[in-house]
Amino acid sequence: MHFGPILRALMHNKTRFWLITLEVGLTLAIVVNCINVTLDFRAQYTHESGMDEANLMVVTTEPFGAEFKEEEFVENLEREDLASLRSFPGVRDALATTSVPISGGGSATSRKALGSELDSESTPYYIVSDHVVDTFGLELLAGRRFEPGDFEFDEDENGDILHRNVLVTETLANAYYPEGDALGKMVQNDEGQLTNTIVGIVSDMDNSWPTWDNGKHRVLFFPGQPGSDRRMRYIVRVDEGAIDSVFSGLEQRVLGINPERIVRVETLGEYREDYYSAQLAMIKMLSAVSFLLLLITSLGIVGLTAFSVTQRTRQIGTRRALGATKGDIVRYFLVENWIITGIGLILGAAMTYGLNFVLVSIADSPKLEWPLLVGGMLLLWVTGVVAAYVPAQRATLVSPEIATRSV
Amino acid sequence: MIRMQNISKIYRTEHIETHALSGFSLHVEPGEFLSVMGPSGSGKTTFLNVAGLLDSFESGTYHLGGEDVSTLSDRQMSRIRNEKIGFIFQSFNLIPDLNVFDNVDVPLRYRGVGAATRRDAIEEALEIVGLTSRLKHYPSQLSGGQQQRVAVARALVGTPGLILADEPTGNLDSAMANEIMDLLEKINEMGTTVIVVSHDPELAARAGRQIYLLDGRLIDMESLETPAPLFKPDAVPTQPPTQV
Ligand SMILES: Nc1ncnc2c1ncn2[C@@H]1O[C@H](COP(=O)(O)OP(=O)(O)OP(=O)(O)O)[C@@H](O)[C@H]1O
Ligand SMILES: [Mg+2]
Repeated sequence: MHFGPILRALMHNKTRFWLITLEVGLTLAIVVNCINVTLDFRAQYTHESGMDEANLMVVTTEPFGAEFKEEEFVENLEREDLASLRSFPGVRDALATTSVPISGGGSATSRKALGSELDSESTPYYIVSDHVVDTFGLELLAGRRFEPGDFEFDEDENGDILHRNVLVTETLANAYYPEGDALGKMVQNDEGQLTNTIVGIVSDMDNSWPTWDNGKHRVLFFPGQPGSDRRMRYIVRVDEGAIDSVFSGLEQRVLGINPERIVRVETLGEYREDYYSAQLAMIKMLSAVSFLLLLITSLGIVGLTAFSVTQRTRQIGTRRALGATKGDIVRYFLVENWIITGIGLILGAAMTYGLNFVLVSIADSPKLEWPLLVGGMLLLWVTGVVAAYVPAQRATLVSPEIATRSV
Repeated sequence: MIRMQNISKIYRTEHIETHALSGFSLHVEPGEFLSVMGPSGSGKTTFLNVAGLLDSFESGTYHLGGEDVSTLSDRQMSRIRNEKIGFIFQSFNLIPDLNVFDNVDVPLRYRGVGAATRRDAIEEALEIVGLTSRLKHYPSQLSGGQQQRVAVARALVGTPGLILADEPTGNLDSAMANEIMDLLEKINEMGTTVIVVSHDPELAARAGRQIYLLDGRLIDMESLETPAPLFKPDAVPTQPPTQV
């Protein structure tokens, strides 16, 4: 409608609006990049771990009794603990392990296909009791579960186990044997004195470091005896939705078998929250910053529009005298606002990509996809319209007889 | 053109009621050139505001071009102002951020005419006021007289039947004032009804008819033998009015 003259009037008096234009642009750049980081994190955080995560609990015990110094005592207690946990009402299965997935704590070693000339693959592993597949809720894709025989092996004079059978995830199996024929094949460490036979391949699951991209879904299970005099740890899988009912009873159950230890019961979900806590905090801060920026910018637009209206009462009166309806007057200020935010958004689009480029190169942020930018521009545009509406509405209160008042 | 009967207009502030117009009646024929005089505060601007539908009134009837305007909606009044009335103000009231062309364009924009028609009308109006060479100038780059000529062009660009001017020469020196009066005369000769408020008796005398206001009432000059004492000294016309 009056787009041309409104734009020309704005251009003739740029000082009035360039600051808010810049503010809109900066807000777009920061908000869109914050949202981009947040969405990327959210995708990672809510990513399926491959385990029956919602029904998994972790029981950690830290012994202080003197008998724990004896290896055989620990071995027997672990067997007892497991039997007791597995028979607890509501518990589906349990295993003993050295460390916990999605916890940030764990071990990794190197393995590669037997005889391969290539570099070895980094191999996150857990030393576990049996019942691995069913406790984590994995799928056995090929081969078999651990059998009692897998837990019998010899140690050399250094305490190294020269050979034992292992289970690996599909991703890791394919890393060793890209042809997909890993089952029954062997892997070795760099020197070649330690070897393992892959007796089973299970579906993928997160290891201790789910944000480690190159190690994603790589897990190797060594059969063994994970407990020690320092710590004995169990993963317990409960029936669907039974976490709350099982939770309170587990501590007493374990203490009932041997009270000389400190027992901690947690859900795997709590481990996940801990693991991501720094990022969760950062996301909360980014959201707060985005929200504040949006608020400040909309207040800026409210202020600018209100200021334009007060500053131009005579002009409004004159326009009314010359035939503008109240609707024309409101539209004038809204269109003016659209132009100001529009220019800000175009500037801001460039700034958004610029900021993203910097974040990608220095902070390893995700690359920005254009639909998010368009969404952000829409968000700010709507914010601008809403912010301008009320002060623009006030312009209709200016009466046309203002025009004849002497100055 | 204008038929006002018993109009009264009251301004109420916290403490006082001002009867800016009371029992005001006036007929103006189409094509007339009328000047309005009277001391400060006598209601001249108020009369112009009511006549131009810029302000409401308490009682009385007002027909503009045969139409009863007391019942019109705000929207309808805007439309009449836009199509039938042209305004010229003492302080010009040009829009400072628009150049001459865009300023004259303002009333046409609210009428929704095509760009080509608008351009022709604007150029014609600026031709009449002699400012075709200043299209791209902004108000701040023009003298007062030039600004008021732009305002005159803006008032006549929509070819209204009625032009209302509130002390259009009040901020101008006498040479420029005469120029503006020349223009108003010229516009009136083209058939437009012109009503101009002026403090300057000499300029007012150029109108075809003069009316006098005092305390919101029309003074019937013929019924007064010696009208001068009625006026406060500072507002006394320098020569007695000759015609009503
Ligand atoms: N908006 C208003 N509120 C209150 N009183 C008003 C208002 N406008 C005008 N008045 C009063 O109404 C009376 C008439 O005012 P008006 O402006 O019509 O006078 P005027 O003849 O145009 O005077 P001047 O020659 O100084 O322009 C004055 O007493 C004035 O104070
Ligand atoms: Mg006045």
